[in-house]
Amino acid sequence: MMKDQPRKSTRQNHWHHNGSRPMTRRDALRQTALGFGALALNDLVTPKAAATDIPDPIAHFAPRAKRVIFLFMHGGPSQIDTFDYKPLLERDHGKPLPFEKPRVQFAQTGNLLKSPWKFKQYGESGAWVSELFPEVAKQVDDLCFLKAIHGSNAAHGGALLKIHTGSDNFIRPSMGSWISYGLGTENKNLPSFITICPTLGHGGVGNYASAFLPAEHQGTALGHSGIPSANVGIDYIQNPHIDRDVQRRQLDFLSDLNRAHQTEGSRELDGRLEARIQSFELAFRMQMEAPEAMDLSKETEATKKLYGLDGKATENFGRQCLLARRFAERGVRFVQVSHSYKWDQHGDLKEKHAQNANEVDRPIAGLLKDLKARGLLEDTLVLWGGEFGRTPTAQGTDGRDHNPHAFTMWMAGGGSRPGFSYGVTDDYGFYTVSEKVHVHDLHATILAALGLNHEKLTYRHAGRDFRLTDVHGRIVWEALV
Amino acid sequence: MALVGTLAFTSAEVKAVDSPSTQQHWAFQPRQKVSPPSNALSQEGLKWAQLPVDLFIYTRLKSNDLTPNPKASPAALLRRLFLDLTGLPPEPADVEAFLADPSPAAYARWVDQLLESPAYGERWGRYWLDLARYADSNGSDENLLMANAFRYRDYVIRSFNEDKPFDLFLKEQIAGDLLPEPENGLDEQTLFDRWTALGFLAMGPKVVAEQDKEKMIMDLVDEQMDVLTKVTLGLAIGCARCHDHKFDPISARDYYAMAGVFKSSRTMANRDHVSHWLERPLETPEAQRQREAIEEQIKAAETKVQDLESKLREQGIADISKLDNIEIAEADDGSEAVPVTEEEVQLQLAQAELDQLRKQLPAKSPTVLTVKEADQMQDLKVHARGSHLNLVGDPVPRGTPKQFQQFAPASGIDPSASGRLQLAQWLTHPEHPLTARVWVNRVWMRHFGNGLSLTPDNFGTTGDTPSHPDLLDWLANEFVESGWSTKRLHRQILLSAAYQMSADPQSDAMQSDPTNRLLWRMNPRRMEAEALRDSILQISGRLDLKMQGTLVEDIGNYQYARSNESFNKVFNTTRRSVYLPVIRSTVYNYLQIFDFCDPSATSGKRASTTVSHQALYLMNSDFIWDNAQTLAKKILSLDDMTDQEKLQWVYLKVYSRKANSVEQERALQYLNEAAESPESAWTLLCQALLASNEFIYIY
Repeated sequence: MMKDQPRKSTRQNHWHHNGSRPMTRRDALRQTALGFGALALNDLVTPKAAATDIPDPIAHFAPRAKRVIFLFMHGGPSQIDTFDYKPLLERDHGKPLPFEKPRVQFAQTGNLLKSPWKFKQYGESGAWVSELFPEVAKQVDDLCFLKAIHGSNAAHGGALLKIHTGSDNFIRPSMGSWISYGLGTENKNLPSFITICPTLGHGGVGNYASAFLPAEHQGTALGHSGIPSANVGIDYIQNPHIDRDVQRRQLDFLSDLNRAHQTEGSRELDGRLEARIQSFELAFRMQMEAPEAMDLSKETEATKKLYGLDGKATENFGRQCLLARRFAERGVRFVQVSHSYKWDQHGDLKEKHAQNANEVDRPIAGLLKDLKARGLLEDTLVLWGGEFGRTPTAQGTDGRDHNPHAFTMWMAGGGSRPGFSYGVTDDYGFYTVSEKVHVHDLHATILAALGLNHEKLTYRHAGRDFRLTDVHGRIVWEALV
Repeated sequence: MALVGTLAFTSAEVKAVDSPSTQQHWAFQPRQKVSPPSNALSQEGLKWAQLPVDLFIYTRLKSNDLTPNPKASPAALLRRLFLDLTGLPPEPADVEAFLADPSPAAYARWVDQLLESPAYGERWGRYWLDLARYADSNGSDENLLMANAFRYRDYVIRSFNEDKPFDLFLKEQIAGDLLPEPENGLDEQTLFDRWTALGFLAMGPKVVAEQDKEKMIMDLVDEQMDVLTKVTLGLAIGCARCHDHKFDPISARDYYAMAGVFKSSRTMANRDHVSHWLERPLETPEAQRQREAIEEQIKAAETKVQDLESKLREQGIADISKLDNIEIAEADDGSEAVPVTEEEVQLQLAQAELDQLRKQLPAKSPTVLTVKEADQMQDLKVHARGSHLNLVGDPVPRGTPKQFQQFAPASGIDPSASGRLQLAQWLTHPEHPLTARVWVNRVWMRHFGNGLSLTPDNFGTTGDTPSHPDLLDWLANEFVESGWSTKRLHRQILLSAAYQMSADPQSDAMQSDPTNRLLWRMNPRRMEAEALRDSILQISGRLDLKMQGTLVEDIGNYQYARSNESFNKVFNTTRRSVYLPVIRSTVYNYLQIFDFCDPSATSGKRASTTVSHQALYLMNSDFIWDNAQTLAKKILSLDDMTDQEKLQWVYLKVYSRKANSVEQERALQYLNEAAESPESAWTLLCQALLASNEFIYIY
């Protein structure tokens, strides 16, 4: 589709700290002459390009990252028990919150509840991390904390949809779909957006759906949260009845049928017929590449161990993380890994948060180390977080309620600023105070890291240009290098 | 639109929306009284034209130096007509009969016959269900099963089959509960249909766990208005929730005038933590009175029994259940008879009466999702930036958008009524510039692949201007004058020469009009998900044509429809696809892969993509394999046929035509090399036919 060579990232030098860069003539040409519709067209519709060419992605800014891995902690991990250290919460334990609680709450909470876990400073950056994440703590100098995220929703469903699509009440394309739409694919034999073990509740498919964007930008789900990651796969990727050579002969026969149909009545002028013929060839190649991408048997024992595949508690999530690395390596644009609906501790905080953290700590640290060792962390943006945080006030004696008003997420790699913390919450971590990052701002920032301007990445639908960030969004340049 | 916008709310008054260019927008003008341009036509054109529709099309083609394609082959035409009207291909016998007599009269008979077939309503009703964002579960944040939604789906299918006048069809869905009763009364079915029809308003996804319940209701109102105005008017009125519409003549005041109508109607049953929507039993007022009378009597009888029981307890008879033996003891008339007190006899009688009454209680009536008038009517203030926490100015009286009020009842809305009835009357007024145009364009789109306007849901100033505005107006006039008959509209299109053209491309026309805007050919189309699945099932002989009813009832109303697994069994059904449960957020995999609409939002035109997942499905799914195998077994059972004859038979089944000699040779060669066993070889061949372009594309 586009003739230009893929552009090397020309980071630092061209960038002012506030992130503004004068638009080059080339940028202007791209945006006006071709427009995003042209760039995002399903490449199958122009069949000649289908087999080999990879379209050059749009770049409004010099891209820092080429892909995203989103480690989604479904349920809402507590910021004040993990990464947002609040000494005053410990001091004022048992006292009432000295300011107003939010107008709308999911459940009623009582007085302040201190964290059951001790915090320590780590690394050269000196970031505070609780004892829930001892392994991730060793990687803090690669992390960029966003501690004043806000603006999802007080209920899980709304909050999941908000985090994934930017809207809690309208049907909108998922962030991964927007990125697939904006950047296209790097590997024609694999989907550009894969989500591993997603939840089917709380918005379900809506969280990885393409909505009005073309269907090829829909996330391809591998299993769902109810299935062990060892058993997941791409639907219909293999024919259980016949061998590959039998199928190859059948596809050759099918191709003959299609060619005969195509040559009649000048129908070759209808490009869609050729596109469908190509789609079978692509599917046949995908049948070989996808199982290979998911085959962990060639990974070394050391690598498996790094991800925690040797541990009973860590094995399930570890495999998801390892799969994510393998997809990232093969050019998948957006991979989501879900630790599904475990983090919702209205009660049993001590036991369950410890259990949850234990399941993900080693795999996440392993993923970060592995990406770094392979040189992938440089252009892979890793994002960690849940749909909201939790209240510093107690629900019951050992629980916390949802808190969409202030919570922590972190980024690593892909041009995020390493060893950095952005965002301040109040003394107890209930509300944001400064350096706030709304969910729309987070989306704008992720797109910016990928070289996409959230205000320009639009799609015309029902008479209006839509964006991931609606009419909002501020790019947090401070968190990018 | 989101609640907090950077587009600041400026004024509650209409401003940009009153600009002269907006006022002059074609779709906001009254329909033109046009007649078909017969004078301008050459002999050639008059010879080609079959119906008035053709005169409009031919005139435009000629003035652009284009000639219409020749007529499609009889086989292609019959297949197109069948799939178009019923979503199913013709049977081999139908094809052979039509090949023997492809006369216009025979074709016209098929048009009539297919329009009268129940499969018509299943096919065209499904289009309305796309528009109505029909589903069997809530989706959104809490995906609760709407186990009674299917009655709305069945109502829609029935209405299409009956050719219910389109204006009445709309009125029932907006104000069915408020429509006046005709003089000769309402039969039960019509009464129930009116309540069921309101599922249109109640069907949307609702954020039922939103804890700001006022926001939940306003989001619900917004959703209802968005769907209603897009479907009927082709206008996205939702923009005006936060600000005056930037392109169309809808002000924020217009929005809140209409929002008041829906706020004064009730869709939710409660405001619980996870709120439930309203349902209504299908019970006539008479039956309700009878039931309530019996319930009253039951209550009285229960009290009587309880009183007697406590009296007996006071008398020291501890175990009342022993009294069951009294009757036997008396009947025996022997020495074992126990003394019976007055109260004991009375209790026996009271108990018997109660049992009798309980037996009289009618079975529980089925319920439907519906909308009712609210307890209190409410005019709304403008919500600045769409937020219910930010109200400005005086309440806006309930009503309809100002722009189109020239023919609307000026009297306004009774203080004790929501205004849904007035809204419905306004929408279906014969002079309304949009309603008939929008529907006619949708029907045209479903027959030709594209509408005369390419944006069926957007007739506003940012929408597409129709290619043949005069034809659109002529059809809309005819439609309204004929009493809003959709079946008549079908005939006017299907019997035209334009519809019967071949779909093959011509290289010259592909240069000058590549998108076929002027209709020099029929547009080739890909089968939609339902047509593809149903056709495969029909060809393999497994299609179950049973109509109506639900496949999800055992899961339970208001229960979580979370996991695909609980539905997998259901999806193994061989019923027509329109009866498959539509579970929002986890739409059946197959339907998703083949571009089913998003059932959470109104959808006037589905995507038609070509992605490798479709290929994977056709190569590897159990569904395709099982049907190909069934078809192969059927072929092998035709043992009085030669292989050539078998091939002809299956070509006729799948492609509605016979194979030529080259095709026969290639297929026979493939049968030899495909697999050792004949069954495997035929299965592989059948699968390839069902996966081929000729099957999936309608030319």
